[in-house]
Amino acid sequence: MGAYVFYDLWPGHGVAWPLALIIAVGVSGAIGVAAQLLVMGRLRRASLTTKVIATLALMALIGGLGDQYLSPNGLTRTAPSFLPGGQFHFGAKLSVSLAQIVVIGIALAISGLLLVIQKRTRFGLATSAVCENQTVAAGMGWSPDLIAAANWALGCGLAALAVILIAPVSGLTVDSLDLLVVPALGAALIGQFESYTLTLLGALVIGIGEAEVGLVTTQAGWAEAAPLLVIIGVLLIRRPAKVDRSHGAARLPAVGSGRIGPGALVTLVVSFALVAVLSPSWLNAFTTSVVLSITLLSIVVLTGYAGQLSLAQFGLAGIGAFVTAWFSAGFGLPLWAAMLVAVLVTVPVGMLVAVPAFRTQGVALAIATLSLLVVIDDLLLNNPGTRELDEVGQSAAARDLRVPP
Amino acid sequence: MIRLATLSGTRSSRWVVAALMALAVANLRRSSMGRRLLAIRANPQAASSLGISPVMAKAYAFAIAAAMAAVCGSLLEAQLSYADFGLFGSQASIQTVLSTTVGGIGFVPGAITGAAGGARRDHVERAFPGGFSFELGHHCRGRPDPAGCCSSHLTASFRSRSVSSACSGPC
Repeated sequence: MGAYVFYDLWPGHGVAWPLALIIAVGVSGAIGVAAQLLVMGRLRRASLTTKVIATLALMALIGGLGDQYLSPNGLTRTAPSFLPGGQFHFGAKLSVSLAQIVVIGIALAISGLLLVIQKRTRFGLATSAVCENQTVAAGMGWSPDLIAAANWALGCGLAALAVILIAPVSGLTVDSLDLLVVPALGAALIGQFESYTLTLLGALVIGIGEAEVGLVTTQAGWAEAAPLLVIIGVLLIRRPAKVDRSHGAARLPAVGSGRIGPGALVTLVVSFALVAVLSPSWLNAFTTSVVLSITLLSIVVLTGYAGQLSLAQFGLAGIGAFVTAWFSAGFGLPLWAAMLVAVLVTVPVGMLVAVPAFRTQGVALAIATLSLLVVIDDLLLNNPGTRELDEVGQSAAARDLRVPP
Repeated sequence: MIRLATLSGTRSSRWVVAALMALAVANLRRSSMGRRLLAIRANPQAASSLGISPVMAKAYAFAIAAAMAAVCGSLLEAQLSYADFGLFGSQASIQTVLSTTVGGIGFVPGAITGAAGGARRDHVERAFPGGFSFELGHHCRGRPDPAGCCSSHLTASFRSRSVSSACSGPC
């Protein structure tokens, strides 16, 4: 959001870039404070899963608002760089632009600053105290809400600065910026959400890794996927996180009784009446909703009942779809048989998603499943190779539509 | 190009599958496995001291959930005439978790209402090309046209700007 403000003020309205930068970071920090006061503060006693879902919802909300604000007509805005241009050449193949060096320098400086704040100031000490035990910290006269709000402001302001710096490279669309979250969280995970130094190191490794995979393989999708696979690997071999002692105190989402009452019968009768009555276009819409509800039911089992947050469920559905398409087109299997194969293939992949869950929970599990989701997306579903097939298929479908039978 | 010629399945069969899944999830909640999952969720340490293996319970939940997701993807894909995986993006996957939360993440009806609110227009449009977006096509000139072939005439005629040829023959 801060980046939107910045790129609106600076090239759009002709505000000088240092001023625009300050305003943008300030706005972003204010959004962070608002998020803490309005949403996260109320969820202090909620379970970790609920908090993660709340932040995801915030991300979707802010992303949606940003999209409205940034490009109401679907136009993408360009993000020119305000950093100095110029290239440094190291040998024949390697060249680094001055802007990249400046960005890395800023990252180093901020990490150092944060390290000093954390280790040397009372604010850093208070933050650690709140993180360890809110009640005791409050007993010592530090308001957990105030500390949390300050940290949200700090985090959001820094995020805005980071996005402003990276936007000329990544482009300024909500989609591309949302997906930046995944490697960023991966870097934080390597630093175990505690160490600035390790996080910075992780971020550099991931960033350089994404660039260098291109030297090893030219297959599309691997550049994004490979570092995430490394993150999942780190998560698997690292010693398990500390046992979370907040269990029992946290409020969990309510769970239904699972009894099948008269309401279920009524729903069943009404829905089959709908099938008989509705016009085809409405029926198509309803059928899609009903099929989609199967994935949501799987989330009820996984997150509602078992308390395991997996963000990859619809990606798994994509794998099921891929296998179904493959086997029905390649081997001429009927739908029920292709579906059976899809289940047989998807369940092991789902177990792969489950492996991080055996060792971690909450935020780390969410990041692991999110990483796997992006891996599935990049390597299989949204891979340029697959997408090419899609586009050929769609243009053929359009051709079929246009030619009257 | 992957043409999905062999896939079909009627609409009502999809409703039946979804209803069976809903019943299965409700039954799971009342079964001993369901109680074990809830115990793991509330307090893993206490649950394992009662002899419940967290690893087994979690593996069970992930396996069941993956199987259900596969069925969903399979059915969604089978509605298409050509393979298309664009609708299973990362954003959409996060969106499903949010929709379930809005519907009520611990409740079977929550999943259904969540899906009703969360199914996006582009899901429908991708799944039924010419079905939802070309609403005109289904009642072309007062006649019902469930196959949607009239809409293809309409599209073609908009392109050639000759409306007279649209919907003249038996399509």
